[in-house]
Amino acid sequence: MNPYQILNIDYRADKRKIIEAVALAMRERKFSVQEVAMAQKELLNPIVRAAHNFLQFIDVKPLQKRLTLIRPQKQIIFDLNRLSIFDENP
Amino acid sequence: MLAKAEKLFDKGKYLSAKKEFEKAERISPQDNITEKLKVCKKEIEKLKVKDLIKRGEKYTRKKKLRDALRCFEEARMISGKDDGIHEKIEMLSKRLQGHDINMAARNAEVAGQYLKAAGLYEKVLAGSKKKDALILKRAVCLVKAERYEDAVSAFKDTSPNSHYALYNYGFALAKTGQYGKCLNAWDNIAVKNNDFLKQKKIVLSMMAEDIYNRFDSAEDFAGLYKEGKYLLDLTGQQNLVELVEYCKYAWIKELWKDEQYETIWELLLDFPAKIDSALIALYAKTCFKLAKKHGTHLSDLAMFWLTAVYNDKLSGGFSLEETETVRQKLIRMAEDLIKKDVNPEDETAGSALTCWNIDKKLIENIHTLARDRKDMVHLVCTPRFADLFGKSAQILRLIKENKNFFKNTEDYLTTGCYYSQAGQSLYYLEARQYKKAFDSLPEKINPEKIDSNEFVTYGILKVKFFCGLHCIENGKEQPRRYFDTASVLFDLVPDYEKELIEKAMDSYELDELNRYEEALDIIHIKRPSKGIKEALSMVMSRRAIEMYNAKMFNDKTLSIILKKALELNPENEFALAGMYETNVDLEVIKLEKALSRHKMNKACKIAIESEHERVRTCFFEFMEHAVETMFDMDSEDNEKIFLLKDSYEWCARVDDSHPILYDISVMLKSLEQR
Repeated sequence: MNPYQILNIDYRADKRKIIEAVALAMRERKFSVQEVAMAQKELLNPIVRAAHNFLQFIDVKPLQKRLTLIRPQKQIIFDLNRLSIFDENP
Repeated sequence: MLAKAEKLFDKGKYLSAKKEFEKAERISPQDNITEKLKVCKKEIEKLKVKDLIKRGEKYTRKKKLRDALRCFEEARMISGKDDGIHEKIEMLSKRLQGHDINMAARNAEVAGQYLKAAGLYEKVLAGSKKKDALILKRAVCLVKAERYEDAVSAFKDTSPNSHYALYNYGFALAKTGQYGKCLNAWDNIAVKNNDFLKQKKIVLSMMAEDIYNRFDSAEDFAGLYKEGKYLLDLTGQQNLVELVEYCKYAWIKELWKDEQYETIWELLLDFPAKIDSALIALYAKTCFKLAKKHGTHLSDLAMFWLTAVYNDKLSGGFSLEETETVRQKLIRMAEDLIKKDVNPEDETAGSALTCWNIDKKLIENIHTLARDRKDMVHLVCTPRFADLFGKSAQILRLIKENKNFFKNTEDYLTTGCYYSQAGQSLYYLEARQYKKAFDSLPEKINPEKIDSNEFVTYGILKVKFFCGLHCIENGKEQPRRYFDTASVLFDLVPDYEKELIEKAMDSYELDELNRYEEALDIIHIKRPSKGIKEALSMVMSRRAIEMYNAKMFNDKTLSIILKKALELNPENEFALAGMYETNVDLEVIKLEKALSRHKMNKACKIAIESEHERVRTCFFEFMEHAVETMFDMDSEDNEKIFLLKDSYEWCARVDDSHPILYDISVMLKSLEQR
């Protein structure tokens, strides 16, 4: 299970936010008490949290950063006129 | 006259009958004639209606709808009944109406009133059977009327497949900014007309321009990626490469949120030539999610996950020790996942776990070797990853430079082998997939030369050796071809020789002994080591005795084989014991042969010269029986005395203190006293 999903928080959430999220999750009862408790326990443990941060989130920014996006010069585009070469006799 | 009329009436010729009846009535009116005339009239009407319907149907078939309608209407008027005529009249009226509208539509189209034509075609559509053709006509009219949006939706109700339909559909799509779809439709037009090809190019330029415009507004990365990829594949426009790549990652980000890992994997499937830590992590995480969701991609998971978690970028603010703990936690998470999916019947999952265990150990070694060298940390990866991204040669160099790091030669060679061309075979071997292991061995290299190819050579030697062992244990084929290089392997890793010897020594089953003997025999030619000699001697003697006991050959053959076994190992006690027994048996056979032919001098010589007591015992047992028979036989005493004296002499020659001499003396005395 993804503890971030269970507690509906993002990876930047600090301890206070985690505890608030636990209270909310308990009230919402979307997940069982055990699941919520386990999510809290995992996110409060820095090692387990680091493992979850690695697994649950992806960062595509470094992959996009290395790309150089240069738009080519605008071309003169001629208008489209319907061709009659494919026309059938009506 | 009346008789003629009646005759015609009976024959059903009502028209002629009517004329005759009328004539008769004119001469002499009678009630029965009036009745007959009524019948005739009715029958004539019936025939007329029948004929009209027939003609109407004929006209319908010939598409002369107006004539047909006239016939049916006349028939209805005459008969005054419905009989399905009404339905036909209605149908024909509708068709005629549609026909008229259709004509009007055509006329409007010819006159260039396309919108009007489109409207008229739509009207005809409702009652027509040829819907597709009419929809197409309407859609093209809408294109001609420059009502492109309407045209596109009209085309959606049909499946354009003629060049005419495809072109107009594509044109409407292009005019509504759907350039990709336009090109898709136009791709199905196999016409190389210059104007058309020029127009295609214009649409391609429009599409590129549109992609850039939409990219600026940063929406719908999925669509942008698909169209950009399509355009890129079609035109090879290099300026699109990076834009498409950018859109791909942006789309992947959205897909990750929606847990669409299968699509992400499809997008990542074209492995790039070079890969960095961010991409490794993306591959690893996607594999993990897919493995968790579907139990698939286990092999890829091992390859990417271990490489990702050993990546130096993992540390992210942690101390060295903490990073190691996080790494171990991540390794455990993936390992649990793989183990969870392993069941004894699933070969893929089983081999994934084997690969995982191998890779885990290997990457640990490479990590230890490279972690402190900045120029080397990028080499910390699994063998299959190294092969895929061109790192194998560098890793092999690193291994070679650090030979002393490994606990022994085998550890060194095995590690190197996994990163070499023979690596895949070794994976198969560890997964006990012997055929695959053997078949996937790289092109044979000379196993005698251990230099730069030492790892590949080792792989070939090891795979061949273990395939040979498997073959011996399973007996599916002759092991000969697997053991011709075993001696080279034993020079490198003597433990494998010990393993073979132990297994051979523990073998007792005849077929298995046979195969071990064949294998050891081949090895012995190139490597006559003490161990191999001993094992071959043992296997040989054990097999010979097994065969002898199964009466598959005689003492003589047994003796020859045992002698050969003893030549290999004179201390082979099993062969020695066997040899002793065989020699005794052979002498006994010779003795029995001599005795049975009454060659007593020869028999005495064998008994005297034999080293085995059993041979003499055999001689005296024979003599005891012979002497008793002589004494009791029904013949003259003189003759008995003569024979017994001869026997006494023969026995005394073999053993002058044997008790049989006393017995013979007693017999002689008793005979002489009679």
